Amino acid sequence: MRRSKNETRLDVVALLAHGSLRGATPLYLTPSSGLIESVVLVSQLEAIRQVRPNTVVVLSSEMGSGGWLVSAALRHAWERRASAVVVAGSVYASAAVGLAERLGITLLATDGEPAALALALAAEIGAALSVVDAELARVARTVAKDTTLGDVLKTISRELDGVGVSLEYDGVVLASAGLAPRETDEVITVEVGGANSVVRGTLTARAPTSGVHNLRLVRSILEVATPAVKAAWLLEEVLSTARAVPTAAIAGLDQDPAASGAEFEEKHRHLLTQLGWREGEPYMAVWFSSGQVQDHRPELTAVLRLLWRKVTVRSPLAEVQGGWLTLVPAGDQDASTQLESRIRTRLGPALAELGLVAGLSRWQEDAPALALIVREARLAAQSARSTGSGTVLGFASLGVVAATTFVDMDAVALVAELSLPRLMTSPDRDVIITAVAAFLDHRGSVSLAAKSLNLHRNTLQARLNRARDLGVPLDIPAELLSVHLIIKVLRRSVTGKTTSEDPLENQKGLPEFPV
Amino acid sequence: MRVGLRLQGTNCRTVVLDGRTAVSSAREVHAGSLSEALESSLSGLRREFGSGITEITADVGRVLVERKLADVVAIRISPRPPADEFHMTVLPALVQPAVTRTVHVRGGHDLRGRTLARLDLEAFLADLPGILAGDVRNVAITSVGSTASKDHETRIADAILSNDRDMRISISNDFYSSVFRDRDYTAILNSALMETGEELAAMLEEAGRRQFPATLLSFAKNDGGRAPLSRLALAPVHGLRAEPAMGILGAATLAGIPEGEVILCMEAGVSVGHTRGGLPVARSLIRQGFEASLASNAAILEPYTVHHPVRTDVPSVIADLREWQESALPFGLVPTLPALQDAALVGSAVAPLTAWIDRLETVSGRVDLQRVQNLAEEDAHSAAVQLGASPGQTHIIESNVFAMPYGNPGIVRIRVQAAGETSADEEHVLPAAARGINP
Amino acid sequence: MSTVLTTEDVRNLRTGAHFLACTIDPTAIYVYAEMIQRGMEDRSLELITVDELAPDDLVVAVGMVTQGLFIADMPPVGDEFLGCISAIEASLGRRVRAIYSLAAANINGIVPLMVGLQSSLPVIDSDPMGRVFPLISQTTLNIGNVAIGPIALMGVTGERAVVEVESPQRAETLVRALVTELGGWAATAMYPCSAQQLREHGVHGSISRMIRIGQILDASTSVDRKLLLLADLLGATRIARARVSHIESLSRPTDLGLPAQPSSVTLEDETTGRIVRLEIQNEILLVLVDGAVTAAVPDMVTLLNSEQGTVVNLEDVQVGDVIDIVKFSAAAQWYSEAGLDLTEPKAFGIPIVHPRRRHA
Repeated sequence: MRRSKNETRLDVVALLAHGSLRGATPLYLTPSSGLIESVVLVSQLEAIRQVRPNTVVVLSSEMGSGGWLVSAALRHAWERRASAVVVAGSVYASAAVGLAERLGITLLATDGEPAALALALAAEIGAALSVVDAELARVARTVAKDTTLGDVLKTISRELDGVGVSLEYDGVVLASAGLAPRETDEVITVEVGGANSVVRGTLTARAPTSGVHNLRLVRSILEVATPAVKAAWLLEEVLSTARAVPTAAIAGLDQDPAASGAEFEEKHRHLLTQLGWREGEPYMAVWFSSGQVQDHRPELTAVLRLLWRKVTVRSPLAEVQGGWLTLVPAGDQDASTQLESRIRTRLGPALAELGLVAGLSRWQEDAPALALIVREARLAAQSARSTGSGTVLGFASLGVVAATTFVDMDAVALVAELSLPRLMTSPDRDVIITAVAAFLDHRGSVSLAAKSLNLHRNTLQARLNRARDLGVPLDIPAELLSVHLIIKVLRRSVTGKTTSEDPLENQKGLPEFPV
Repeated sequence: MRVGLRLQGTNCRTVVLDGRTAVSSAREVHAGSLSEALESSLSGLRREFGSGITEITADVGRVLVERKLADVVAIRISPRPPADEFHMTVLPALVQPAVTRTVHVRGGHDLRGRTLARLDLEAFLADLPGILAGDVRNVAITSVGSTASKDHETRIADAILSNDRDMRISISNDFYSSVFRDRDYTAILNSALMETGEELAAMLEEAGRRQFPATLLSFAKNDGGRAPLSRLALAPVHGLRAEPAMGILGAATLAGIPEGEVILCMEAGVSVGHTRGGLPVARSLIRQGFEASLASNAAILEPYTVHHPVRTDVPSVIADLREWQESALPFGLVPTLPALQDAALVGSAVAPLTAWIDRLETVSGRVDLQRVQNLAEEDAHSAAVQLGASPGQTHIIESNVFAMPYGNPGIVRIRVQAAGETSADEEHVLPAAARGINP
Repeated sequence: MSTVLTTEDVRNLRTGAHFLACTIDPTAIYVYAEMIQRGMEDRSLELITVDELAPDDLVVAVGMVTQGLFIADMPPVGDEFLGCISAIEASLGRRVRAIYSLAAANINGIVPLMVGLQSSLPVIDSDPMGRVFPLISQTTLNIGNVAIGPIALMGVTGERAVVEVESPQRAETLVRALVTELGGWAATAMYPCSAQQLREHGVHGSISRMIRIGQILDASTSVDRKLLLLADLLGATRIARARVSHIESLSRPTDLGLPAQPSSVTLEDETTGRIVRLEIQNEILLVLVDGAVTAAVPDMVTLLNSEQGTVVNLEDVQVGDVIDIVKFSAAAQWYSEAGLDLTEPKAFGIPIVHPRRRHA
């Protein structure tokens, strides 16, 4: 990186006094303070032969600091008219001081990591690139040796002196290494994977603002490491997909819901063996689905798989029609409760962020047929949509209310249009619908309903009468359920609060799942 | 005031120093016997200086050399005895006649201190009555690997002593050399000198007690230091060739150069030594050509040659120690010290108490090396204190670690020298702030 | 031609072997020289050139392999080498016709003379190193693919081993382990080969060269004259006459495969001000003058007392000593690609390419 000529010139003495060389111990200082124009971090002696004049040569710690090495480095540095040589530790260098003096080259010792000093110095003189080249090539080599995503992230973090490094998707942390993030951190992100990639996310580093990190170098390191991150992620994704095949197959089976567990096992023994199925052991199904029917993001599978690891690594997650399925062994009731709470606490926020919900089957001691628990989980997930993204719902806590979540909302709306035309066209429709809904919700009690709406009893009574006038059959018991249903649907549009999140509106296209 | 004293034949020569100043020139007493000469010298000093004398150090090197060596039984411990005559241990010609009997005992250790061959104590015990039956009272024991383990040497020594308390035993582990024949030679020579050492120690002790009951008597060692008389009976070998060391120390003291070059001009020729930390620079062996070396830390005194580099940055002293100083010195040298000083006696008078630690250590790395070196320095320090030095007056002069060529990685030799003064001599500080080679 | 050696030759050889040993303590050489001279009183010792043997005559290298012990610390009993030779003969079913030195320097430069006296076998004026290296795999025979095995070893305890091994590197590992267990050194016989193989792949004239070096150094001439004669004989040059200013032990982390601890000596050339640094690990591996590589193994570097011209032992080097640092080339084979692979600084854990390789 070129420096403009009129910029303030840096020299060794100034940087020792109050710059990036502050922590270094001068073993020998030339009488006239050396000009500093660039810095190189070298890990091989030969590299010093290439440096430009007025360069600070920092010997990387992997090079060691034997006296002979320091001597040879001083010589090369002298030949290249370098401004200083920086070595790790001062123990071995003592005998080289005389040579530094003879050659007239400043010799500094650092107790810290030489690379950190080089980076800080590079930042200070704005010459990061010269250091970066050497450093980046080494980082690239190092991360390329890692095969798992976790290891890659750990290595990146280590290269950045332990700063927090994470792989994120839509703000959701999928995997991380290093220090926990803090509010004040500088956040540097780099994209991983393209638009059509199976894996897609961002690689993020959070560097303390107070630290010595050159943010541009941090970014460069992230960029250099990205291919390794992507490769490791893809590899894991491929392996997970392979492991998930039996689970996916089970979900796709045309199953007889009435069949017993034993019959199912008999019929699909081979598949179950592949799944690692343990006979007689109760399993729980977990179904993830999108909060939005149309929402299909192919990369979500890979994302969800990384997230799912936070719950368990043993049960593979399969992408299936309408969502993702996994089967988790749960030995007893406690294990099932634990599973549910773990999904809620560890995945809840991420699911909310990603617009996903999760449903769990009931735990049953007598090991019901797989088909049954898969269906339970799916229904629970469907039902969870009504409560919004991020909901984790167990089938056990579902009950009959679930039924309403499976009503075809568009059909109901259409029925309302056709059978209650006067209501629908009435200008005070919304007020009336609200009044009727409150009345029905309070089991026909005008007082309670008025109270809930903060109205006078007589006012409510008047609105109910107006409803009757507009053709709402409030006094025919056999029709009340239907009225209640229609009103519930209509009320959604009244409050206007729910649009895409309204599960009732999303029912379309899923009629094959009757209650 | 301190006295430097040298014995030879039936003569006793003394010089008295107050600080670094000689308060009397060297005096020599000739008498009918050595003990009479000593007695007479000391009583003269008592009359003149009374209780002002705090230290007396005797150089007995010349006596040790002139007395006939006592007969010695040499016991050598190794896995197997020599298979042919070529492979027998050969001693320097001067010492060879003193060895009246050689006994081989199976045993020995390797450099790590592991047993190479089990000590054949049974066979030795069978031989023992025969050894004790002779009239030889001195035994030298040298075992293969005794730098790493002295177990076999001490077990043989114990076996002898439990049968005869009065035998004088010298074991080679007391002397550091990595060479078997050096240790063997040194142990034998030491053993052959012990009787004389004992005798001299007793004589000095007795005369000292009579004339200067409150004064400590020491003997001068070849490293330029001194040790209490009791050590003379046990390790007389360190008193051999003390004179060159004392010459270097004395000349340097008179010239006031604790760090520098000392050129001694004697009848036999011109020699060069160096001082560091106020003491002569020493080496762990006294080499004798191609023969076995004496394993004693001794001052280095090398012949001065025409090629000798003249250095302006190093202070140097040229002392003319010749008896007859009429002719000019060779090499165009000009003495820088006033004539007629017995430098070696001055050296004896000022010699500090010195102790050496010289041993092998197994280290696992730099930190460990530092640890064992520190330990050795502490040991040397306490060894000097053990000799009578005051802890506050004791310094490390030299502290070195040597790699062992072709050795096991991790085995190093550590050599440390400590020097100190007794509390009685607190006013007499070492000529320079003592410092070792390694900071 | 065949030469009958004199005791004078042995004395000179003693000095030459010490000179080429580059600073190692010479006591063992002295001990052997003395034994050999005594042995020569009633037996004669024949030095032959490899050309005097029939091409298929069996010859074998004899030498001490040490691990952690000076030979002088545990003197040989005397039957060790004979035991090794007969073990090789038993293993190969052939008689050994002549012996040669495993390394023509230091103790192994002189040991074959003792063995020659004891066995009445002629000693060949050749060796497979032309100097001394710490590893038995560092030989010109190895470069020439001459098999190192079978190797016979015998230690001071009288225990004997025959190692049948092909890879020189494995031989190194096995022999070193055995030597440690045998007490720290072992007499060995290895590289049994034909005279033809030794002729093709050995270094020749190595024993007579040591004698010649000894003649030069032991003569009562000035140091400068000695250096001049050494320059003629070996192409030796004096790198510097310098004063020791610093001594360091353990100056580098050492690879456990290499015996001994490294150390270094820093000197200052007082006339020119140049700073010389010696890196030592058994031998002097590297000489830096003002930080520039001036000599690097396989180059040979030795130290001479600047006043007497005698060989300086590293153990005796003191801060303040003035020393002549003398450099000369090793046998030509060592500067081939394969030779440098085996012996350049990298082989000793110093990541420096030999200067000659750079220019190659």
